[in-house]
Amino acid sequence: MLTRQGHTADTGLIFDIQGHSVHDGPGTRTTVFLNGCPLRCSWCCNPEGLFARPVVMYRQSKCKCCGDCLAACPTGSVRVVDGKLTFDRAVCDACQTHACVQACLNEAVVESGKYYPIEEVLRILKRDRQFWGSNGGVSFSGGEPLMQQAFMGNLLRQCKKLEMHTCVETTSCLPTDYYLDVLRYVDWVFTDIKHMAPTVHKELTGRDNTLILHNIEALAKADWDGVIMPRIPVIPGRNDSEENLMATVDFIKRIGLDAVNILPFHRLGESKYRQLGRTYDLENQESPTDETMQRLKDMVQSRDVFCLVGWETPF
Amino acid sequence: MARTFKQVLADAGISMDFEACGRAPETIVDREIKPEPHPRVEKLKNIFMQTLSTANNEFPYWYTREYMAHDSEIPVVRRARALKTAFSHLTPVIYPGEKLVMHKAHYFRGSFPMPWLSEGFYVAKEDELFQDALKRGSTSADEHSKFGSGGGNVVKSFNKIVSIAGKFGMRQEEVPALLKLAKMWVGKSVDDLGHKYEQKCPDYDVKEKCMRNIVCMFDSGYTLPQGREVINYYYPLEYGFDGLIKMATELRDKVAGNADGDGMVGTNRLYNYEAVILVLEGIQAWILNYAKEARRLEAIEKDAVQKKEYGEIAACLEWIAHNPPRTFYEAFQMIETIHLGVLNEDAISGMSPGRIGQVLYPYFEQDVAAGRITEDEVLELCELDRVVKTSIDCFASCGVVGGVLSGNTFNTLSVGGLNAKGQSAANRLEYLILQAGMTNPMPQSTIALLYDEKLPEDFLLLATKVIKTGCGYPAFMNNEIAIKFMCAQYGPEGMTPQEATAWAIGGCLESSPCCWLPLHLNGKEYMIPGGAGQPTSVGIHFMSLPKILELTLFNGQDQRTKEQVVPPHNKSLATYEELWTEFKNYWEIMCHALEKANNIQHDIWRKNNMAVFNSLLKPDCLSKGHLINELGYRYNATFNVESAGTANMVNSLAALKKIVYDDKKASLADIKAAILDNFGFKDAHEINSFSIADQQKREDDDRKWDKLHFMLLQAPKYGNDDPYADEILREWEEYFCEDCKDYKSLYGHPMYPCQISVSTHGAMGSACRATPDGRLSGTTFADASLSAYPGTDRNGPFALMNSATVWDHSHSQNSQLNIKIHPSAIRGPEGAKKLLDLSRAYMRKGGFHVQYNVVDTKMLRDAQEKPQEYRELMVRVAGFTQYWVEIGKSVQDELIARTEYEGI
Repeated sequence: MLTRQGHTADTGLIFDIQGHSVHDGPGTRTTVFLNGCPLRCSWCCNPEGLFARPVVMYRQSKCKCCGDCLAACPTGSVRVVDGKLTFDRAVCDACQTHACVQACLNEAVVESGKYYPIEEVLRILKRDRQFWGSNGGVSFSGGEPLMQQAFMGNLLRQCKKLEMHTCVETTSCLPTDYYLDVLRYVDWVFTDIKHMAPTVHKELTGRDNTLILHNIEALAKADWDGVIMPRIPVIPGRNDSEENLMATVDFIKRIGLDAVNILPFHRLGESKYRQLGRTYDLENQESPTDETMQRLKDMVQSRDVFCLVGWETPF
Repeated sequence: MARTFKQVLADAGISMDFEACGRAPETIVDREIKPEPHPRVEKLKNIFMQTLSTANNEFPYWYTREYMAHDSEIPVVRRARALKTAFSHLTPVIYPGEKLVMHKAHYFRGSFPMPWLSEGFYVAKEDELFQDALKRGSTSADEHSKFGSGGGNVVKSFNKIVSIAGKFGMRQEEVPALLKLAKMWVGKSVDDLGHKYEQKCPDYDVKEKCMRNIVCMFDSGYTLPQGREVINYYYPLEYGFDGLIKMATELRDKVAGNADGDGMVGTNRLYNYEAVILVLEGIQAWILNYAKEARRLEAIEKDAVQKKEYGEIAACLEWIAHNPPRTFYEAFQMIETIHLGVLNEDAISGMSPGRIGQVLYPYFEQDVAAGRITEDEVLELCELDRVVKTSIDCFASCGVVGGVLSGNTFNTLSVGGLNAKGQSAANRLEYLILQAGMTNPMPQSTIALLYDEKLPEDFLLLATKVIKTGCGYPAFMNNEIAIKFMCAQYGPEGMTPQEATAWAIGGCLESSPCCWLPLHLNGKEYMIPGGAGQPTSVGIHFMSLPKILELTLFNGQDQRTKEQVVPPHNKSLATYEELWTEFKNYWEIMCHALEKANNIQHDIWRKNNMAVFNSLLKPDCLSKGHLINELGYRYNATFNVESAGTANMVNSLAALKKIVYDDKKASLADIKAAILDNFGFKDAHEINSFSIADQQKREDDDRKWDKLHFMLLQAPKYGNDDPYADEILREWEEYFCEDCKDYKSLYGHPMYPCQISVSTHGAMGSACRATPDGRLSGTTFADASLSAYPGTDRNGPFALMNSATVWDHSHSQNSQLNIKIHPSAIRGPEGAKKLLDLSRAYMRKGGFHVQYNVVDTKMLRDAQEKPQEYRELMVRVAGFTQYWVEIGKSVQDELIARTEYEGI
């Protein structure tokens, strides 16, 4: 049922579908995690979502070092170094077989990212909607959930046709026409504003923020009755200065919004970097304390903008 | 223009002036943040925490002495005399600060053995017990610290205390008395007599082998002959004990010598009423002894407040010993007394108080209206009730208490449901009962919420907030499904749909037949619910489904003991259909053998050890003049067939179907060889962990089974919304529900399925070899009947709940789904709503029961290492809540392994 071809209007690349998701929008939801992202934020907690193709992940704790994957690899890219496997990531990322995954009997070498036919996604959503409660729905996250344009345009349109409540967690770093068009099928948008200064934004994410801010503003002013909830991931020392926070608040107010959700940095994604054979640049990054978050919140609210902290949100 | 966030909140009716994480919009007190019981409750709870389970011989001594002195008496009268004498001689004990008084025996956690049910254990252990008793007090600190890891269980003898069955402590000087008493019952106990006669069954041999190889877990006739039922408090509340004695006397005189057309048992009514009178007199004497003790304490107490309270206790007891209660306090004390009385009459686990929020409501309503009591005082009493109920220990046969029940007594109370008029039955008192579950979280009473669409939202939210505290209750039980089941099972005995609404949970999740009766208080009539049926979960007890599959695969031979349990089928099992047919054949052969042997045990029980006190409480024993043994109860079709290991059996069948029969990737012979070789792993007993996650390969393993093991593990599994596996579950359930009707209880009624595992999934798993689903030898089965096997439900709770509801739950007494959920998944006020959404969705899909363990697995691991730091940690096992430190390791391991839903 699940194929290995690239994504199309009818097939999307998805790395997880989570039922009973309670932090990704109002009510209880099913969250679909889509592959691909235009940004490269060092704090990303879903690094497997950065890939626009299925990718091999290696869970060392499950590995028995049996050598089955080495034998199966057609390119000799898997080696044992110091009692654990290493992958030649450049070769493996391009590999079309992932024979190592098939060979592993311990679920230590696994593949992240599967091609789902749209009907399969819809079947799951239709099944799950009985569990959402009155204000739940489907959330799309990633990666950047809107990257797979043809697929998501199709899927979101169909969700709306089925009268599902839809939510996206987006970078807003997308072509404006497409962005405004596809969001007509979305009820609720979480959009990150990672930094207000274009140069710093580029340093942090690989892209400057011109398009992002432009898109958010355009959406806020568009003929659309959805909800925009700007989010600031708070990464101490990188974007948590009062100056940046106030600039963000000013932007939010200027475009007519009145609330922001600040999310404390966490390290939950760290192990995935290891599994992907990548280095985690934020190894020494501190998480903001509760006091810091409270201080930031007070700062925001002093400007008459409503501030929600973390995932404990009243919806 | 996009809507602003403030507009969205305003639309939802949420005001803007709340704090960081929002505040619950509903009006529930903020107890969950800092649940604290009233100071007096805290003090008594501390006594409980420092008290060990204690057994003594007072009751058995007086019972045996009186019983043996009347060997020519009519059995029911003889038993009643023994009970009266025993009750009259119980030493009363009242602790300072208690308001709801009386204890089973004269210890805080006191109980006693009943050798008239079964004495073999003590006699067999004679040497061991004597040695323990003779050992002088030279205990090391080591031994002392040991029992900390068992909570209140006396897992080892220490000082002058002898451990009995790893659970109860007995003073060493009492041990010889226990042995002497036990010996007096040799050949006379229900166990011995039952055994004498069950051997006459032509297929007794199969029964014996089933028990020996743990295909079946235990005999109910002499271990826990009663329980898993709902008590009925109505008659004493309405008439008082004097009133009941008067009634019984008049009826006795009326029917004496009259058969009234019933030539078999018509004349027995005389003796039955005689017995009722005797037992009621015994209960009165017991209450009045406590009243006397309260007066004694009152006389010597220096503290004015405590002195006054002793006086109030005495006045209350003196009144309720004779009369119907007038106030909420008197009524509460009376039901507490009745409850303990019933539990002293027989070895009982799961005597559930039922819907006490309905039973006590008349008194609550009138007292509150008249200003006789405040809600805070009611809350305190509800908290105290939890101390009383948790302090109750059940002294049943030893394997039963530890292996099956984890020491739990299942004094489950039910809230919610519908009233006699078909309206939501949730009342203000039930809110307070739920709140007390939060302010005084103790394992008893476990709470069952009878979920109905008519229940108010704030009631359901409060219930959900209680769940969030991590205490493991309330469990959600589906009212509509249970009512359907009641009508189908008890309709032939005359149950109407309206009467069916009176049902409640008896035991952990055994739906039990109840009825409505009119209580009168100060001229006002209230319809109150109460038990009207015989015990459930008696009959065919805990069939190990994976073990039956093992026997099927190996031609009837147990692969742990190599004993031929059932006759060989000599089939090649060449097709899946043949395998399925032979599985069912073996199931039926064993169920029939167990059905008959258990009927005989219960028959002995009803002839010599029948309930008198419990009987007279239940309709319609008093009016009919027949007790439980002569079908005096309104509903008698309560015997059932219990299963364990459902998920492992379904997964195993799915794996065999897929790998062997459909895809032909491996032969049955390969799989059997792999099972015997435990897929190259060590046995769970060898590494002393029963969790699948901790199993280790043998050093000499050559990996020859790895590929096969992987294929079996990857085969379709129940709990993932995969029709391949779910269809097998559906087929099994439809067969099971129908097949049970072929087994008839001694009362002549068809049985039905009961699908709870309690703790048997630990013990039964421990005796079962590896299974074709990839589970390894000795490891614990999946808990409950609809919980997924740990780690196999990979598609989240929605998929699991979808799989669980592929069959019609109303054809079974229950089904059971336990879910472990990480606290972070339901944090914040919205978390409660989201959890409620999940539970409600499952109920709407026709699920019967769902219940949550809100706990971080990391904490459980820590608790296993440092039990002394987790004395108060409670977890939900399978239908009940228990202190972590008081459950066995195999079940602890399973709880840790259970898939945890984080929802992040």
